[in-house]
Amino acid sequence: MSSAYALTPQLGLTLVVLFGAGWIAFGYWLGRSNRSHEDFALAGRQVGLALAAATAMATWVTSNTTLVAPQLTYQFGVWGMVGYSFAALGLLLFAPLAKRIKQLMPGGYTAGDFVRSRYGKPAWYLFLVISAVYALAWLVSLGMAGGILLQALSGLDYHLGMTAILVICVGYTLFGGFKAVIATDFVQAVIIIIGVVVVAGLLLTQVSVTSVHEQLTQQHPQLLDLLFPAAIMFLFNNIFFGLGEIFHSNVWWTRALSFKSQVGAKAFVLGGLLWLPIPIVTGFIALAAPQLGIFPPSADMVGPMVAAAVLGKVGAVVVFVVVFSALASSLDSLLAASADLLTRDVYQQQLRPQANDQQLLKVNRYSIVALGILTWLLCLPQLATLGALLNFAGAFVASTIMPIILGLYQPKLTGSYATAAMLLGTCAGLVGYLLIGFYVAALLSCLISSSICMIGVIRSRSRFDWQLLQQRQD
Amino acid sequence: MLISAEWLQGLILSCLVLAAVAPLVLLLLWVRDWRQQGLW
Repeated sequence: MSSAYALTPQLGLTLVVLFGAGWIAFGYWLGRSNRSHEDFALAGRQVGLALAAATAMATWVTSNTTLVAPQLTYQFGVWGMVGYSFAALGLLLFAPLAKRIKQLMPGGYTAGDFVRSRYGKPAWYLFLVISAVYALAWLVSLGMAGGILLQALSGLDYHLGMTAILVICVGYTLFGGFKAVIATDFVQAVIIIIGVVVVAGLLLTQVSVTSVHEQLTQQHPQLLDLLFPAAIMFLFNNIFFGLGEIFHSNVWWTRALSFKSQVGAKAFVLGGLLWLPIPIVTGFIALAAPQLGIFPPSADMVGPMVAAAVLGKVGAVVVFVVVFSALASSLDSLLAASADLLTRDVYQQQLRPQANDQQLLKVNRYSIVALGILTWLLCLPQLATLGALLNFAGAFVASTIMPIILGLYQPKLTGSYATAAMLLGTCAGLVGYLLIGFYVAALLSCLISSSICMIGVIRSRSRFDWQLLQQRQD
Repeated sequence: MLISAEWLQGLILSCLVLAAVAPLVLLLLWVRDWRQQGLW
C-alpha cells in the first residue's frame, strides 16, 4: 500500500515528531516571560507591525486555502479560486474596525466583552452560541484536515494525523500563550508562502497554464466558465462568509486588542494583501488535476495529491510542511481565542467575577486543554467534507456582520434588534443551506440580518453612549 | 463564456509574483521592528 503514497509512513511520522517537538519547544521558550493573564492572553497588548501582519495573514491561511481552495477550484473552476481570494476582503475591511475596537475598548479582552457591554445579555448569550458553533466547526475542520493530509501523503491512519496536530498545537499554545501563537504564526506565514510559491513554480515548469486551459476547454469547460451559476453564488456567499468569520470571531478581536494602537489597521491591510494571491496559486494546482489524470477519491485531497504526483517525494514533503503550518497557524489561534472566551465570558462573567489574575491564567490553560480534547472527540468520526462543515457555520456567522459594524459605529441600534437580527439571520441561512445549498447560507443570513438591523436603526429613538464601553470594561 | 488562456495565465502568474514578494516584505518588517525593539 505504501507505494501508492508520496511519503512512507515512517517519513510522515518523522516529520510530525520533528515539527511537533520544534513548535512545542519554541512555545515553551516564548512563554517564559508570561507573568500575567494579560501577557498570556494578549501578549501584553504591544504587538508590532511585522508580527501583527504575519499573524493576520497566517491565521487566515487555513485548511480553507491549502485544502479547500483546491477542492473548490476542482468543483467550481476559476470562480472557485477567485471566490476564495475574495475572502481577503474580510481582513481588509476589518482594518478600520480593528482601529475602532482599540479606541473604544483599549482594556477589553474579547468580542464577547463588546457584545455584552454594547447590546446586553440576551444578545451576548446568542453571540456566544454563534461563536461556539463557528469555533467548533473550524476547530473540527482543522483537526480533520490534519488527518486527511497525513493520510493523503503518507498513508498513515487519519486518526493518527488528526491526533498529532491537535497535541502539537495544544502543547505550544498551552506553554507559550498568545506570544507563542503569533511568533509561530510569523514563521509559519513565511513557510506557507515560500512553500506555495515553490510548489506552483515547479508545477509550472512541468504543466503550462495554456495546456491546462486547453485540456479543461475540451473536457471540463464548466471549470473555465465565467457564468457558472453555482460558482457565482459561491463567490458572493464566500465574501459574506469571510466577513462574518472575521468580524465576529474572537480570533480577530484578540488580535485587534493585542496590537499596538497605531498598528492594527495597517497590519490587517497588509495581511489581507499578502493573503490575496494564495488561494489562486493553490487553486491552480487543482486546475491541473484532470490533465495529470488525477481524480481523487475525495475532493479535498486534490491539492496534496497533485503536488505529490508532480513533484514526487520532495514536493510531498513541501506540501506536508506548508499544509501543516497552515493548519497549525489557525488551530493555535482558535484554541487561544476560544479559551479566552471561555475564561473571560463564561468563567469570569458567569461563575467567578472576583477571580484573581492567577486564577484566570490557570483557567485559560485548562480551557485550552479542554477545547483540544473536545475537538479530538468530534474529529473521531470523519463525518463531513471540510467545505461542507465550514459552510454550515456560514449561516451563523454572516448574521453577525451588521450587528458588529453598526455596534461599533451606529449608536442607534439597540440590543433587541441586534438579537433579532442574529437569530432570524441564522435561521434564514440554515433554511437556505438545507433547501438550496451551502453556497447561499451566508448570503441569506446576512441579507435578513442586515434588513432587521436597518429597521432597528430607522425605528430606534435611543442613542448608545460610547463612554459606557470603556466604563464597563473598567 | 470561458476565460481565455491569456487571462488565466496572467491571473496565475501575477498572483505567483505577488506571493513570491510577500516573505521579503515580512522579513524586512521584522528586522525593522526588531531593531526598534518593537516586536512586542
